[in-house]
Amino acid sequence: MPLLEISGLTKHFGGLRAVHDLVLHVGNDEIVGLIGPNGSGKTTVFNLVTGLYPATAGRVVFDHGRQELTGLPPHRITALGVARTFQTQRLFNHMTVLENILVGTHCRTRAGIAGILLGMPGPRAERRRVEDRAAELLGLFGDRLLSRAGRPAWTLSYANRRRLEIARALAADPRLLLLDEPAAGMNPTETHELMRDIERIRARGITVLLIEHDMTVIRGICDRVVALDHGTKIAEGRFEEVRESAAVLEAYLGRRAGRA
Amino acid sequence: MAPPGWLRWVAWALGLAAVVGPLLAPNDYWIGVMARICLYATLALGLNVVVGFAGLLDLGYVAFFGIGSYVYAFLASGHFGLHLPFFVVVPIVVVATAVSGLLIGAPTLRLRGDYLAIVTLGFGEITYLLLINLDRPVNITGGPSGIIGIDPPALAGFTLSRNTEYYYLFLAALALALIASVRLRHSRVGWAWQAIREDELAAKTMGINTTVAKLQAFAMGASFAGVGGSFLASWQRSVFPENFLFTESINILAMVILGGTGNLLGVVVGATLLVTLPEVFRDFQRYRLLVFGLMLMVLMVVRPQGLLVTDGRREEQEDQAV
Repeated sequence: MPLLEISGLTKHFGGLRAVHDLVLHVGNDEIVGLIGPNGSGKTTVFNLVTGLYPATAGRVVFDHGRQELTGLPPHRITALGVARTFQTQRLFNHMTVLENILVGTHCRTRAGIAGILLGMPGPRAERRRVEDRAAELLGLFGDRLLSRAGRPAWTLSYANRRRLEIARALAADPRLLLLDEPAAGMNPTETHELMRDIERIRARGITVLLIEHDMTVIRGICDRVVALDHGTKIAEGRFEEVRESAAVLEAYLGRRAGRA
Repeated sequence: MAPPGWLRWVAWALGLAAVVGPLLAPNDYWIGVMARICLYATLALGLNVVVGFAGLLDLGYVAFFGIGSYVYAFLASGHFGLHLPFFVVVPIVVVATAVSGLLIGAPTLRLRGDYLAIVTLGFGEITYLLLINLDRPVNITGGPSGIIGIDPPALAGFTLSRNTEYYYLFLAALALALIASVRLRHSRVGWAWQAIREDELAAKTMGINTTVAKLQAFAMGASFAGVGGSFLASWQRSVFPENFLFTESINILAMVILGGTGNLLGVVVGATLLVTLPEVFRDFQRYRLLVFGLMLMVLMVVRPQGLLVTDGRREEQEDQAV
């Protein structure tokens, strides 16, 4: 059984079929790319997997068939080991860079209000532990975030905010990381750095499913690519195979006039 | 993050001034004003948990203040013939107000911003109407004439009577409220509250059970008001529905906003100003509200972020080219 198995997943918004009868699986330590034109349902798939939307039909099963995610609230799904970033950044802007990461550790900590108010040793030790862990995660991106740990998140540059979103998601100790257009708005140098960062994340034993429009990233790091159009899967395989698929060319470029 | 150096000094100076304050006060009346500052600062810190930390705009906070005062009055006066000791009653009141916070918080969990504000405002008004009307058919609250003859705080045979004694009791409570606020602010619970304030959806996907976190914020904020309510009842020796009008909610909210929402020292400064200024302008009775309102307007224009803000909102945005 693969780490994540999606079967028959369907989401209708009124008459709009955002995702229809999708079958998708992601294996251990894979990097899988999800591509497709705008509005093809990629982000909806993420929202269904992370529990932000209830599915109209279908199932999402995690942990090699052991854990049903369908119907669970988002915070439970995160606690089970699925973390994500967003297409449009959703950082906690008026909290510091470090605090953004600390929020991510919420589901891995236990301190209760009474222990916190009384300054008990348990919660204090736990806080030191997560602060060390947060610093380690900031260090994943060299000095870029670490040197700005105490500054409010909104002061970061665009690329650094994207990095912080990834670090924050990693703070939840996921086994599966969903990245929604991580390279959007990055220049070529930053994009290459990002690709190395994602490889390093995989090397830590974290499986990655990513949505990306930048084909350099898809070609460079994805073991497998899944193409969506109008909420259904139109191609799957290695990047070179998917790129040649007639259905993919048609979805991106439109039907050729001569063939119509 | 550690506050900047000058802020630490201001905090120490304020603390010292607070301890020696009664010795320097010109008369007993001003010691009473200082006691009110401590009482309201404690309330404002409680509202700050809900509004400043969790970002839930609560316009009915005075309801918890009222519930706290009345529960104290029920348990320590001739009204029901119960005269429980002060240090037994206060914990009961804190639990009662925390539970009332859960009850009022639960139905509002799905509401945000303006809608939450209107519903909490409604709860504040309902509480006031209950206090004023629950003297029939069975007399519970004493109706418009309230409850009088409430026991003063007594510990180990010593009964508080002078304003100075109340002042130090209230100051001690304020110090505890500050310590509690600091500890909460830098804890996983406080981080979760702030994450909800910043972006509730992102908070959910970061593994935060927002239902639990919001209820914790409501209960925690309400319990501060429980302490404040006990103090008001035992100090005034009486409680009336008029103590808990809507304007009080707005007054406490103004204290939170004035100093800088979420900023603890700012909240205390806000409470100090909003209790003191009306006293200073008492001689100009007729113009008091006019001048006071004008000052608030000027402040909102000149410093909309509040008097003291330390979260770096003034810092320069990092250069886009990294």
